[in-house]
Amino acid sequence: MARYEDRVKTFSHDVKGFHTGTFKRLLKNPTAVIGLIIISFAVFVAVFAPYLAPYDPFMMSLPRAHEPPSLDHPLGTDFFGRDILTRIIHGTRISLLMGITVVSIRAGIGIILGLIAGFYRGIVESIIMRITDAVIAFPAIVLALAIMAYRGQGLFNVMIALSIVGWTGYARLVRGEVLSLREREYITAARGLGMRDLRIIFRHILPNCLASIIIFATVGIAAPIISEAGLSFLGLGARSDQVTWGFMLSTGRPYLRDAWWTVTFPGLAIMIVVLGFNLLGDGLRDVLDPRLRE
Amino acid sequence: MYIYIIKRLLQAIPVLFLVTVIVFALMFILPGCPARTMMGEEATPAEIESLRAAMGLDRPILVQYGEWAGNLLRGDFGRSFQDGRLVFPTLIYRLPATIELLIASLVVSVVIGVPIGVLSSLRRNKPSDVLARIFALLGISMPNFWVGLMLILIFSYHLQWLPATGRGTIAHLILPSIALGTASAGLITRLMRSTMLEVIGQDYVRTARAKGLPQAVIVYKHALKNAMLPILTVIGLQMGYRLGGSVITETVFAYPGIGRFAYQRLMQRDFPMIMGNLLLFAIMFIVINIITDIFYGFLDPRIRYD
Amino acid sequence: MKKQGFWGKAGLLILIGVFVFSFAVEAAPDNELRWGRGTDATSLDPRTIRDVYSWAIHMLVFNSLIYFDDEMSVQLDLAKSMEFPDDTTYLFEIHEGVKFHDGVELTAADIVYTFETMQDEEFGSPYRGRLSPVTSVEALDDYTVKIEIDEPNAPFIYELDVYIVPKHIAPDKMDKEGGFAHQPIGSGPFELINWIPNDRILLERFDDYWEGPAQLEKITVIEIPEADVRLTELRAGNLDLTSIPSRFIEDFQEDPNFTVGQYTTLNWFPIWTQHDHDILSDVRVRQALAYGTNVEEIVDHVYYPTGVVSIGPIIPGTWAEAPEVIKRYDYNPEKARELLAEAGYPDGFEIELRCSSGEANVQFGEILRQQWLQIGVDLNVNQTEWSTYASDVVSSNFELAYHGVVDQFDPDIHLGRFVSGEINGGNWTNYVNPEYDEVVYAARRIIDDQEKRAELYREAQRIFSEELPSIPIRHSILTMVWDADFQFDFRRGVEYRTLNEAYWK
Repeated sequence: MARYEDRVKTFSHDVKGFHTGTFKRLLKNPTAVIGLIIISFAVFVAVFAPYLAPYDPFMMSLPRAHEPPSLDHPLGTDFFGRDILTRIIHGTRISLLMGITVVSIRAGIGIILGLIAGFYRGIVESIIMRITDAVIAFPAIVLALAIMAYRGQGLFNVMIALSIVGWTGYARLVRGEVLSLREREYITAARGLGMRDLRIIFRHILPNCLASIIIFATVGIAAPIISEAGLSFLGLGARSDQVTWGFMLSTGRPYLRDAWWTVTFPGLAIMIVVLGFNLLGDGLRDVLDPRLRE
Repeated sequence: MYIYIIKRLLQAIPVLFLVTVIVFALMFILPGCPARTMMGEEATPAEIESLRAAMGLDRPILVQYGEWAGNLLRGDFGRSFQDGRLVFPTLIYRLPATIELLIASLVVSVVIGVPIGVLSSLRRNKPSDVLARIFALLGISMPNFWVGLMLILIFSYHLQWLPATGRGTIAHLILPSIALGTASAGLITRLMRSTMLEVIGQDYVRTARAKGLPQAVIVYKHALKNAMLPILTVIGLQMGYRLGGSVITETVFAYPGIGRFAYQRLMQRDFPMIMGNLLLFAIMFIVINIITDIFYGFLDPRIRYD
Repeated sequence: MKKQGFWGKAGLLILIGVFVFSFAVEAAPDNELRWGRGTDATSLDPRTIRDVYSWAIHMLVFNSLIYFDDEMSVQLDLAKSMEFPDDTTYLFEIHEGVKFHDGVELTAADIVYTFETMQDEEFGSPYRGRLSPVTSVEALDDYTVKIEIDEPNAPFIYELDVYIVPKHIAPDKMDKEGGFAHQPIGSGPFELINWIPNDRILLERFDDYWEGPAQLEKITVIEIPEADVRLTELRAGNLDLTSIPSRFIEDFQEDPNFTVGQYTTLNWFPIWTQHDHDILSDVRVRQALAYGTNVEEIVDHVYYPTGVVSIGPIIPGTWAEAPEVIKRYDYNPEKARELLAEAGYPDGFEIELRCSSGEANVQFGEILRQQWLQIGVDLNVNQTEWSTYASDVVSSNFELAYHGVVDQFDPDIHLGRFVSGEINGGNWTNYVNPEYDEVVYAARRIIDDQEKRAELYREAQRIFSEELPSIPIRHSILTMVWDADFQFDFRRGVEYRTLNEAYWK
């Protein structure tokens, strides 16, 4: 007796997803390649930060405060005489960490809720989707601000606040995918065969959503990076013993007039990293499903 | 048409209800115990108990929610912890400034995004298209507060063309609305481009071409109108980001709206004001989406019968 | 066709809307002062609060019996005359015909009422401790007030610049919902029209002011927390009077369009240390922290040119100063580490510094943190907004704290912060030293022999510098900048009172 998985497999070719040669095609796509280069560079910098940075990110040198870019300090120094290039290098760590962690949590919550809503339909779906609508109504930063008003500042609280507010996109996305998938023949066949729900969900539905989720998540890494920068810029995120780009922008801001480099370069760093993820996301979209629109 | 509007309004009610539930829940979950937060750490259990009774916190949750929600409907959002003033009038005083900024930035996004997106789609893969796509991508990638600071640096400090802060004339609106609208402009460009590409490839457009209609007519009469529909939805959704972005943008430009106010009161731990602000943002988002959907209904009759 | 018309109309409406808004331009009327500040007032009921931001407004809206000028001498305000029938009695005769903003006359009954509510335990005024020496306040008739205190007290006179509220309006309980604190009625040269929180305070000239109406018609106090924004607005002509980041002061001093007013204040900014604390109660630890702090570096970098290094609570240039007896703690990280090891902390320790929000505090905290890391102390800087910070300080809820105390008209005012007993706003640091107590209290009681007092204060300063109940950091120079066409006599002590004589050329 052929296992039902094998029979199910024969029907699943027409669904978008990872085919053989996906990665090869990705490498031929120029946007994806540029994105990958930027991201790999950022990861490399983050991992090897202490070895790459020319100075200590916290060592002050007050007589050399606010020096413009020079050979000694290619990106200049800040109010405390600290080298900006060094601090940008170190800031890469928290930015990437924040982006990946928050997206993982958001995706985790959103995928589970989306799967449940799409698969079981009925009241469950209604409730979940109404809640999703309600949560979407709160602008992410404002909700994060409110949460942090109670919990206090600090990067950990930023991470929690951002994770709680951003899962809605994933929920809607997955639910949409599940809705269109569940009517396909091989799924109805599997259910008819008496396959357990969970198995169907995890072996057949989820893998076919994966492509969309990955595209969404890749581009979605950008948002928490910018949000954390924003919250640190407002003085709510990093403490002074941590280095994040948003915090650098915040301390540099009063000196915008006379020391523009303290503000310009950290912002450029954010832009470049975010650009990298956006490019990779675009490339993935081109490769995985040319029919998808933004 | 009216049925559609009413249906839409009715659909919004459960969402509004859930929004109030979420805010109410946050007020209880977050501080652990509101009475303790108010009294401070040295309060004795007896003092906390009596404050709780006085505040009515020992009554069943549903009753408390009912009372709070009832107050909301009457426009009573409670009083500030900081100075005892009513939350609602204090917020409303600052609302027009934010609405001005939102509209201005929307204008910026659309005025930049739509034409560039359309042109980009018409000159597909030519250098101008590639350039446009790069700019759109850059626009999405730049954090709005950084854009704001760079704009201030260049146009206020160095060139001295425009004011950096405050509110009053159109000149005051220009820089903040550009900062707030850039990311959105990028998104609209990309969306416009892809939607137009899709529409242009369709049969009825090819037919019009075959009939010999001039390019401009095709573009404007057929393609553009249909491409605007998804743009409208996206504008509604993007309002959420725009509202959130207003907090930081207003702070950067010292612009006296509810975004900046939310931040100021946050620093002062003025919880009733913060929650009122949050609620106001959510209500604005829902209202804007209703308005967007109604416009959508005007434009595309098919939607009304959904 | 219809749809295009719709879009056209919508677009037009938006444009019109924006245009209309643009005409809500703020034109500056001629006789108005637009005054920019970094922090909003907390309460306009002068009995309920004692912070400088609220105080500056109280000065304009209310009157007091007396006030003090830049020589720290007494000047009469409401009082027509002041007498001392004996060592413990103050007798004031007040002017007749002083009107409150609602037309009712100010009489001795209002003065008695003000003092009584401030002394009332249930009212909860922060002045209660300061007024604890008062045994009675009596209205002998409509225009005469007699105040009696428990024992001879030289510095007590400096507590009498209390602002007087109207008995028939001001509540006798702290009003949680604002009311009088938001819409006060006083007798001062300006009346409050409206106070929009975190935005602006609108004041208008009170035409029936008893000394004659002021020259200015309107004062708008605008809150702008960012100092560099205030600078931009000042240059743009949207503000007439404000304080700016100190590094730009020299630019304005050279600019003929602006006048810069500076004076050395009577303020003192130390790092307050909590003595109800295992680590900090050891004097060697405190001395070590002082040795480990490079105060010059901090003052130069963060506060230049408006900061001056402080060696103790007494303001330099005042009669009680005694630099010759003060022990110095010049920057010496080696010595600091030695002392810490001696005290039992060879590996250092962790400690928290509280301060309020603001760029300068952030910078102070960061530099201090780096300096103390060199001696093994791990400092965590905890910044909160002002009112949370203030209430925590007052309830001694801190390990280390950083803020300034103002107006040392008398040496007792700052030195008195470290004695037992509820004087001078209380002893937040919980420092107890009977020897120190004795000297300071004795000096208070001498009312006619300044030399004798100076001797006692010399001893007090010596003890202070040995014991270091708090670590002195700096004194400050206050700088305000205003439009050169605005004639404003800005002096220490008097501060904004002279706004009622200020005018535009």
